[in-house]
Amino acid sequence: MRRMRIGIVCVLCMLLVGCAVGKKQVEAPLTVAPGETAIQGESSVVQGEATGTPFVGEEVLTPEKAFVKEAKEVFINIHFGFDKYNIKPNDIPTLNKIVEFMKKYPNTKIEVEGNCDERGTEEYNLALGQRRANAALRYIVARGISSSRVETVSYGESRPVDPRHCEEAWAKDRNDHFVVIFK
Amino acid sequence: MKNCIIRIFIFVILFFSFTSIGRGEMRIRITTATLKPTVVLMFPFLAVTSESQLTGSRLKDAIVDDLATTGYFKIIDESTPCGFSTDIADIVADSAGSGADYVVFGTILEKGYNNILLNIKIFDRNKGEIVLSRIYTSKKEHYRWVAHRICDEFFQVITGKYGPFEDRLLLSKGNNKYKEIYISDYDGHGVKKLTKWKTINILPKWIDNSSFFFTSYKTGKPASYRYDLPTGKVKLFFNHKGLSITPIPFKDNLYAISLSFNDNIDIYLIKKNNKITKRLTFDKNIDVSPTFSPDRTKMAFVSKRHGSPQIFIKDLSTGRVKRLTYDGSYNTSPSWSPTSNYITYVSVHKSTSKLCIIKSDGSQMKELVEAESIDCPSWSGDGRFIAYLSQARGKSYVCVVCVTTGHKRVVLQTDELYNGLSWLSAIKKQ
Repeated sequence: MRRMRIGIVCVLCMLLVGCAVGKKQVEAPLTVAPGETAIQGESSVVQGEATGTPFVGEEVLTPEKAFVKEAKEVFINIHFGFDKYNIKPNDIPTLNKIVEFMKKYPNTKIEVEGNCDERGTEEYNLALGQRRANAALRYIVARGISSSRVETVSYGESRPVDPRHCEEAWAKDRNDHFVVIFK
Repeated sequence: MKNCIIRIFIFVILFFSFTSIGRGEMRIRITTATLKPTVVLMFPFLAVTSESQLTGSRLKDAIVDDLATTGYFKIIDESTPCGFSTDIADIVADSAGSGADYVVFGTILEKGYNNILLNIKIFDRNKGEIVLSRIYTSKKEHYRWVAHRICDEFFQVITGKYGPFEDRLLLSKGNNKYKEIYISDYDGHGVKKLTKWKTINILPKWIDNSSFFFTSYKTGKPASYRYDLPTGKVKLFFNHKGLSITPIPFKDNLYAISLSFNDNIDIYLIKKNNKITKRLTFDKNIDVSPTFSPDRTKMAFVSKRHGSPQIFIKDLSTGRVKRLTYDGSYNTSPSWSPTSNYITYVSVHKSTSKLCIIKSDGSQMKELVEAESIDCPSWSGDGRFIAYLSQARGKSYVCVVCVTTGHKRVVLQTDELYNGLSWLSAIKKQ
């Protein structure tokens, strides 16, 4: 976690100061519960201090906290109909925020994880999950983000968000989940 | 006697309607109404010591379990052993009035440290002769294998085809973070964990008697790995930038696999060296789940090309593709019988799923099982049984259903999730 914090500080240093990236050090992924936004990082070993600490109201946020808070607000799951992979109109604002975020932080990459509910069958759902992830990728890339910054993966029905077996749970399980990766 | 002949005739016809290629011409309506069970009288095995008596009792129970799985048999479970005599008159006398078609009896004794010696005989009361006489030695803890072997050989005697009871299942089980691959006997006994990678490992599929493929997210992306059972070694088999789903063997060291390129998900033939040799499906939509006819001239697969997932058949010599399923809006997971023209698949409806079979020409569709959720149907090597995954009331199950009798049995259950199942005919003896 300490390395993660250092990584975030460094990323912000690079963003704010514009220093060159040195040697890279791969960090272990941060474990998150399904449905939450995950932040993964590759941190630079270059040390530095952030400047321009942002403020939210009266509370002073450290750069990394501010970044994580913003990412959590932006990267929320989008959802799909049964056996569908078209983006719903009500998810367009979410995708637009993701595009803006990626433009604001050009050193970030994301992974889009396509998921399905437990109904249907495993192999078909793997393919469906891939199409769902691809749908988000196409939207984001079409709005100016390089495809090299967007990875996709399908988990099919392997990672249900809600363990219940009802339509309410299934509606949550049919999603694209976003993982932010620092460069 | 006349009734007996009719019963045997119906029994054999129903067996062979599912176990031979080319029997498609036979116009038989599959129904359980006319199938009368074959009656088997099981005597306990004569034992000298109390310990061998206990093993004999367990062995007898395992034989009864195997036979009961089929739905073909009515078992009369005798509590006292008959005399172990080769004199037919004695056996006929001991089984008089039972109505049994077959009588199973024998002796069991300990041989050396932890070994058993079983002398078993099966008497056909209609023929009036011993039809199976075997002596088995094994370690005591392997008594279930001995039971499976006996039943397999018994099946060969009465149907001409070796039974499926020594077969093994591969399955994936776990939660929403980790899923590992397991192996078990066909009846759910002897479960053993094979992978311990603490990642998502799903959709195991047998290649041959000693190896299988599975899909793992070990590196974060799905890739196909090959597991060698004798050594326990695992090798990366096929790695692809996009989606790849566990391959299945085709022929001549070629394997069929679903791969994504850009937004297309199609079926390809690949070689061992990560090389694609041929593209088998050409559609802008989803094409997955290839399964081949026993002679490898046709491939059934799932495609969304008509708007909903349906099963199609491609003639591999002409390239012609024909839609197979029309009932319902979600028909997936096809699996072609290894011995006939029947294909099993899952038909998903709003709140239930159905396990169905259909002939490759689209005729004789039959629903075998209905449940909350069904997936990954897989045929036994003899084409008489189908194992499948099922979910109900928050639990997941591995079940086996007999195709001709419709008799089903839960062989495994868990509070976690199953994600893949594959049935292998471990021994092919004809």
